[in-house]
Amino acid sequence: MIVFQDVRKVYGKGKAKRVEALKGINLHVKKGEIFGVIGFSGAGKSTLLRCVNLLERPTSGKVIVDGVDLLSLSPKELRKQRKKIGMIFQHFNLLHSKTVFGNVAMPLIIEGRPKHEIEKKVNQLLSFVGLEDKANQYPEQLSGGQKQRVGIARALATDPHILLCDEATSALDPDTTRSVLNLLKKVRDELGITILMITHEMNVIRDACDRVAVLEDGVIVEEDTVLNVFTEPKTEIARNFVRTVLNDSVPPTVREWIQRSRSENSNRRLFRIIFKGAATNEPLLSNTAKRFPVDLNILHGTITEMQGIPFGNLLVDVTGDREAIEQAVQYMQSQEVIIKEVADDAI
Amino acid sequence: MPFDWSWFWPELWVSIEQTLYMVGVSLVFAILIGIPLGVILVVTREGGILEQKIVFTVLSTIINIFRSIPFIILVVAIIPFTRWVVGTATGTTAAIVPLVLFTAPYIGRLVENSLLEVDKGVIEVAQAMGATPWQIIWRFLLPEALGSIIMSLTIATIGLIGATAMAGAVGAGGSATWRSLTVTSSFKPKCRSSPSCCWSFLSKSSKPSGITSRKSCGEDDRTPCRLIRRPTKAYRVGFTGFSVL
Ligand SMILES: Nc1ncnc2c1ncn2[C@@H]1O[C@H](COP(=O)(O)OP(=O)(O)OP(=O)(O)O)[C@@H](O)[C@H]1O
Ligand SMILES: [Mg+2]
Repeated sequence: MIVFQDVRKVYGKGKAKRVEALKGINLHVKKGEIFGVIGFSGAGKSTLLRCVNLLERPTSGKVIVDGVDLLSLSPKELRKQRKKIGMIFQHFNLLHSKTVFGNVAMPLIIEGRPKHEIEKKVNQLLSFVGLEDKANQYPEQLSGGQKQRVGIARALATDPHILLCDEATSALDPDTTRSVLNLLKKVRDELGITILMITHEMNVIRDACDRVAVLEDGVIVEEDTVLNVFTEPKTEIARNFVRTVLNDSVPPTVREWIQRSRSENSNRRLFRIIFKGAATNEPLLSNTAKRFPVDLNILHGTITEMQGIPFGNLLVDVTGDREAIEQAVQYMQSQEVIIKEVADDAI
Repeated sequence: MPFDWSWFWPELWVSIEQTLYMVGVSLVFAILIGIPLGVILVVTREGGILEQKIVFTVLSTIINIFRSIPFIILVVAIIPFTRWVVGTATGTTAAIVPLVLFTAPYIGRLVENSLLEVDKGVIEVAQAMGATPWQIIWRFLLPEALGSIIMSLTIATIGLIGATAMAGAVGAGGSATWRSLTVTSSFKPKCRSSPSCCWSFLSKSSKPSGITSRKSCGEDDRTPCRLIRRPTKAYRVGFTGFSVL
């Protein structure tokens, strides 16, 4: 649906001003998925998103949307393609001089659709986003969440195949964020629209996305399903992002206790056990304790849910003789969980 | 000497009419020129939707030149042009030409500022929607800036009224003439129509009104001057107009 081939973007001319915002991005967003791009401020997220509808022209590389190489299009053809790509913004970018109705109608007016058709479509869109009763209000009279809904309705007016979201929830509180994300999921589920969203909030990725790419300094350093990135982040930056929503850092008192007790007893080892999906339904720890002569002690843990899949992260202290611990670990590994030994100082 | 009121009200009425005529007509033309000027400045500037560096630089320079010419000098400087356009260089209608040339660049700049205040995001939305440059201007930029543009036009109108007062220099009538008429009959002005009044007033405008002109004018001159007046309040309004610019 959206394909980036070695996309580079350089801002500014001359050595002093030159900023390489994108350094060779390869990306493939599939039809019907919600793809998230996360990164810190200045990583190039907005630049990347704006390259999809050529609000920003890449310096080199290819952008192929819906099978069309956008960079090869004339301005007129590009405008036509852009109508198939909706976009919503962090600050909504609504027209203050127009009512909610007028805002949502804008893309249709631009297309020169007949009046009755516009009216029908806009009313339909407003009820889709749950704002039927606000049609005649002005943007100033709306809350942030409602403004973003207007933005979404407007972006959907031309029946696009793709929706681009530039930090669409960053200006909203957690509750509103959740409801807007639910609306975006509804957009995908009911209208089959592919969504590419960028954000710096990992909880947005967790709550809405299927796949995620981590962007750092103009480079995609990690790309995988959200579940995989959460359970096995490969890079430090991804780990840090995961940590912002899944607090797996051990409280200092527990850490102290671990270190103290370890020096007393060399027969104990620390493991981090990560469950996902069906594995969380099995009484894994108690099974292990029954089968092998080991004691299992949960020191710290979190359990959350991602796209309806439960996901747990436990720090477990295993005590027993060498052999028994090895066997217990092997058994657990065979039970579709990820188990990693944690070094003393890496808790 | 008792003030002779018999001519006062008709004169007042005539001069109000003339002022309204000058302000009205000049404003219409100045807006017709100024708004497109402002739009062109915004869309052709660097990063604009129709970036055209040369057009922008040339226009911007011309506007700066016009804006830096004091109105009264502009009036004199373009007399041949005025004559070519309306057939004469004096009178109320003739005054409209310099008034338009004076106000249009000003409105252009004000409109430019108003349009630049429009959130960049709005233009981005328009582009993302696939709007043509024309649609962006017409459907997005101008409506979004409308409030601000109207405010700018109010300011421009005040400047224009000030300039109208000075348009007395070409015998435009209006408030300037009226003021001088009242002044003439009640205070026996010692001012004869002479460009020197005008220049000295321009160059020494900070001095109390009338001082310079009095020196340069004959003693017992009662003829109501039709061309140049002593610096009355209306002139100073004109200057406020300048300083606003
Ligand atoms: N128009 C521009 N001109 C020059 N440099 C730019 C421009 N836009 C972005 N940049 C630079 O490109 C880099 C990436 O910017 P970008 O806006 O894509 O970051 P971002 O990840 O979206 O950050 P944020 O989370 O703050 O929005 C930054 O270093 C920025 O300074
Ligand atoms: Mg950004």
